Amino acid sequence: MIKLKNISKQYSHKKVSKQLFSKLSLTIADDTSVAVLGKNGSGKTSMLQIISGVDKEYTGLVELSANRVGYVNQKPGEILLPWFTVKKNILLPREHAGLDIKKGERLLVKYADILNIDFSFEKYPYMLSGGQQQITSLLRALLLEPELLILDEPFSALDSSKRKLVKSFLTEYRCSCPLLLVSHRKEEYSQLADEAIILPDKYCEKVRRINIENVEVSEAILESS
Amino acid sequence: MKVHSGTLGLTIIVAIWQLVDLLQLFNPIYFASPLEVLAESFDILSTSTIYSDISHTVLRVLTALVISLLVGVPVGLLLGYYSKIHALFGGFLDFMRSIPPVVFFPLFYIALGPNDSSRIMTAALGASVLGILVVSKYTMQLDKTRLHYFRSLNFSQFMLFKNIIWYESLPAVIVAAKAISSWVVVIIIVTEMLVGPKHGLGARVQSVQITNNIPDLFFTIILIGAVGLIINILITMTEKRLIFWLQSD
Repeated sequence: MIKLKNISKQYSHKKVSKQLFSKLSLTIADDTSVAVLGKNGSGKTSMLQIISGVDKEYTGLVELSANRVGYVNQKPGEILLPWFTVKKNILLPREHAGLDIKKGERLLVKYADILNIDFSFEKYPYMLSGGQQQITSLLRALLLEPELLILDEPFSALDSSKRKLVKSFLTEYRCSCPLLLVSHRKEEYSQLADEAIILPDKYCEKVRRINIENVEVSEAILESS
Repeated sequence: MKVHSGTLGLTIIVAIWQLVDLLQLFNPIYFASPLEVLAESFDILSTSTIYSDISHTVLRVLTALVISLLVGVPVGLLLGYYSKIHALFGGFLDFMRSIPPVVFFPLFYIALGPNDSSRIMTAALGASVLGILVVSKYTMQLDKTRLHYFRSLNFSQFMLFKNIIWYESLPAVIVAAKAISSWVVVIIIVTEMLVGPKHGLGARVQSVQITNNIPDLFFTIILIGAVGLIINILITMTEKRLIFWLQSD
């Protein structure tokens, strides 16, 4: 379960500030996968960062029933460690969480096979393409054996064949672990989410929740992506 | 034949230098040509005192450099990562940076005596302040997203330092080392000139000035530059090994 109570967040950059959320409250039930939609600048990434714990600069309360949260950043290069190999990047959070490393290595082989990984784990992140970095970031999150998987535009750097593979994988994966994702492609979030939360353009407007089967995504949201 | 740009540039400078001498643009009483300096250099390098001078200066420089980095890097990291601490001491550091470090030499001379300690501590003081400022400024500008992500995974401060902060700070350490090394060479040479020790390149400058051996003086100045250059080259070589992930950019 994810519970947000009176979340307020202001975004400041170069003396310009913008109120993203004002006393936003919502609850997402266990085992429910949710797509977070909205125009650019509506706070989708901020919401995911607040829920994952990456962003602590907000007021209000976030309650998670999940003990381990996997998080895939919009720009994976930002949170991969370029001084460690891909393998170490993937296993480091798992090792820190006290999970079995041998099992982790077996899982890694299994996921690498499913996702048809075509690069060596002994490389360093700076040697990888954007898509490969995104896959690395996903593997790192998966190996944490999360109880909630948060994905911020997980397909943005992937080519079409890899996108299909990852989507197919996540479609099956969400049966055991709910997803919270941002994606601009209807064919992606409609397959991976049970419902959609649509963030408004202005913080004073209400957040809309819609069952994914009934989503009528406005042209404006798609065009602004 | 492909010529390295640096070699070509150096050749041009030496040619201009020779031309200046040929045209006698400066009084030959206080100006030496490249050929005169080269001839003098053979005499100088065949004597044993020059090597003692070089080694004493290099040892003082390296000692002061190490002390400055040991002080400057941790304090700089602290100020860079914790803005409240920076707010407390940033102004004081800017004030200290404005004071020429060599003015502290008389104080250290009185406190520590007429030996290497006073020279080294003077250089270390000035260079530490510069190091703190360079490291803290670099650290403040770092994107903290990576740190926040691992903090969200409940990494302890020690684990954050071991896996992230240390590596993220290495570029700042290298930048600081390059800035500090030049500063340290200057301060050590000046303090060697002020109250001359028995050995050292700064002391050599003073004694050569008395004998009025201009080619020797020119050569000693070039040696001092070479010491600084070699230290910089060593730092650059260390940089390529330590922060390999940035070399590919």
